[in-house]
Amino acid sequence: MHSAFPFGFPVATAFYLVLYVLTFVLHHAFMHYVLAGSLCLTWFTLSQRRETVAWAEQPLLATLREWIPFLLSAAITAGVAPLLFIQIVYQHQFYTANLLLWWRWMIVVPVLIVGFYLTYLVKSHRLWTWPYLVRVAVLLVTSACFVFVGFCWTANHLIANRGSTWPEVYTTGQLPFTYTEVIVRMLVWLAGSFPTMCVILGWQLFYRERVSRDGAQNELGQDAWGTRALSRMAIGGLVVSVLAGATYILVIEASAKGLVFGNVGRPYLMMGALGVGLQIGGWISMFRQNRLSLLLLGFVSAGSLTTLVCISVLREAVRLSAVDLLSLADLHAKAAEVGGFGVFLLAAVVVSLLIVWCIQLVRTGTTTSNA
Amino acid sequence: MTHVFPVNDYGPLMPGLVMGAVAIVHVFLAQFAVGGGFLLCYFQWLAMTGRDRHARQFVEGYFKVVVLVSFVLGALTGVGIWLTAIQVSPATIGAMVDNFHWLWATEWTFFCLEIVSGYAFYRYHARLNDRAAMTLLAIYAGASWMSLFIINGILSWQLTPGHWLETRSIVDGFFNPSFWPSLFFRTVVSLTLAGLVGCVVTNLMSTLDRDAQRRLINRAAHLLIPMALMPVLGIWFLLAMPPDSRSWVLGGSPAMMLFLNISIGASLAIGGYAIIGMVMQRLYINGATASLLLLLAFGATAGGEFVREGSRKPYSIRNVLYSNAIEPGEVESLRETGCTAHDPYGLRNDDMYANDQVRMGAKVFRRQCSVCHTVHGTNAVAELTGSWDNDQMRMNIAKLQHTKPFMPPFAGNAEEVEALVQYLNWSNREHPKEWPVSDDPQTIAKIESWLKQAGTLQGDFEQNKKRTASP
Repeated sequence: MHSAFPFGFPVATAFYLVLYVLTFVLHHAFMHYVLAGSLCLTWFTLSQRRETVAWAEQPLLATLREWIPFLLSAAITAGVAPLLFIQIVYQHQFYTANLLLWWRWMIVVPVLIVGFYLTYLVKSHRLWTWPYLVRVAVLLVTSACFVFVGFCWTANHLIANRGSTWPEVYTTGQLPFTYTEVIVRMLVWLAGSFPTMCVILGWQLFYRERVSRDGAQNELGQDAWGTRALSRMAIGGLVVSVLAGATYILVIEASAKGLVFGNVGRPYLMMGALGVGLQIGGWISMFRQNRLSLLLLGFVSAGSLTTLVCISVLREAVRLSAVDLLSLADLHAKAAEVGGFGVFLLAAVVVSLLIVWCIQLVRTGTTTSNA
Repeated sequence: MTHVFPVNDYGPLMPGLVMGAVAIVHVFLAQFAVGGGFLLCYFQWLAMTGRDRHARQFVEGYFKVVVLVSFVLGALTGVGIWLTAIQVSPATIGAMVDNFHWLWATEWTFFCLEIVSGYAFYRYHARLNDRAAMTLLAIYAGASWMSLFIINGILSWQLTPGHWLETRSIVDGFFNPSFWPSLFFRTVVSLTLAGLVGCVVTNLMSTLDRDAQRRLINRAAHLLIPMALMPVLGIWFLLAMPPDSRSWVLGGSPAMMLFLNISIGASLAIGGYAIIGMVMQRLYINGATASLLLLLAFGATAGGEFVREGSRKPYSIRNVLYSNAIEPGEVESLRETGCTAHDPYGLRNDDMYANDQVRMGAKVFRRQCSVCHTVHGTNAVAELTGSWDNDQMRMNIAKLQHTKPFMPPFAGNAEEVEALVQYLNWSNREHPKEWPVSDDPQTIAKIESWLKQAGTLQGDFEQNKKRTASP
């Protein structure tokens, strides 16, 4: 592979690979909000032990509590698409990793169900009237559920990359990686989820503030605290994520390094660095101004999207060093021959229009005549 | 040749049973969500037109149930099915994805619409005008029914691929012979489930008096009226099934017939109660009765899904893939090479096996039997073969597709048949440390002749009729 991702592959392979990466980014954007949001709620609850209901109603926390269940729904729904395309792209590599993870993989869904219902409990007013220890326990379990799911996907990825160890993993049940490797890798994603969450939450708070002003419901004073908190979390997350990423690159195989720093990954490495720079610059500016601004939020959003796409491509570059994707090119070409793409495109257009209509209905279809 | 995957052992549960359990729960919840969309539209219309002053309150209460049950459990068990299907038969899910991924992607777009319209209604309905609320509900109902429409085509293709086998056209595969009866049947089931959940929800609305509750229950019962079509749709579906599959359901397999009867019996009980109690308004449906009817509906759904899954035997995709993930065209070559030759995976607890022949037998069992059987648990081979002597066991396994017509042909060589026989005998005698190796050339030759007689094709369902016709 001597060309930038995904140009070194046959058309069908590149096509499915791109679809996989793009839908993966969409899924991750939502999942980052849920993961970082639940960790953020846990941290603030731990650090503000005497505060209860009033604290939970503070705009930043209230917005998180309100939106995490929906964003989790969105993450699960958006996750169906990369789950579909990864099966076409990696075929038996993906299936075998699933099978070798076995019970760890099978409990992902029950764990997510527990986590999901707990997000509704966190959203409810009732939890915040309960004793401090109960609140902390609920939030810790909620966060742990999502961290565990992240661990399973990380493990799945690592096993898929190590085909030579599969027979041994099967017979011994021992996963073929060290905890250090998993922790460093997970740190990239865990810390990296904060900047994404901060961008989405930043927009939510920005519009919330605007609506409050329009409705003469003054929340002044809250936005400054929120802006500083978001800036700290975003910058902190980016710094830790970059450091963990650099550490991870040190420990990966030479062939993976070759792809990351070579023609395949280098453009994305550079664009990713630019994305990180944009985000840090934008958040520092907003921190100094003590307020969220439309322009700067636009900057950090562009930076965040660029970073997410680039890190997802680099993640695939590491995998491509271990998996001979060209050997599956015939299967990709065969998959590309089946019909239905036109139906999908048509449905995508119609559904997009209907989604816009739904949003429009919420904005304009306010009550005037309900008796 | 299909890829050889590592196989996990679920102890006394066979993987197919784990898959069935997840699938039944998901189908029940998903169909409730589909019907729920229509029920909500109906009640919103009742509210808008002033036909029932409590309908608005019902819509709010019911939608909370949809969100808390369907959006969480329904969505996640849907992912669960996918992950479980990979555990049970990656080759099957792989074939489905390869052939229908654009339709699955299309279904995904409707999932997105469901989530957006559903949450928009859930979050903002209190401040929306009636028309906007109705539009959101209609979009939600339409999107959820479209997801049923699409997945129904993919699932029914597994049983009746129809002309797709020759043309490989996605249109032929999707609009296969059982597509329409299955779609209409599932739509009626969805409406029924929604109506029954409506009765439960109404009983939970403590602010309403009994008369108001009765009126709402009677309205919800209107969704049970299409149940009258179930016998016709059921017969249509049976007629669309391949003759051999139909024969298992109609008596050929006691288990499948029993489950079909459970499904019919439960549906009749619900339908009867609906007519007398709710439509004719002779009975009041309290919370306990409504819950019991819903439980019966779960039983009917479970029975129906069991029959639908079971009637595909010996295939997981008819004429494409056997339930043990071996392709029909592969059997002949596996008879030559053996099914264990290219299996890279050793055995867990390798030391416990008495000798290499038993080990080979365990691997044969794992590859060919374990998806539908256990040794001592559910659908246990130990019990199924318990009364057979050694030669009978050898012959029945070698001629497997003729021994039981819903079994696939044995896809291995004579040594592997013998290894499987030895493994089963060794397992039946509680895993002794010492076990003699059975390598009598005459025995192997006998097995080879049985394998040859059996051939490599699927058992001919009509063979006995043909035998009777010819002297």
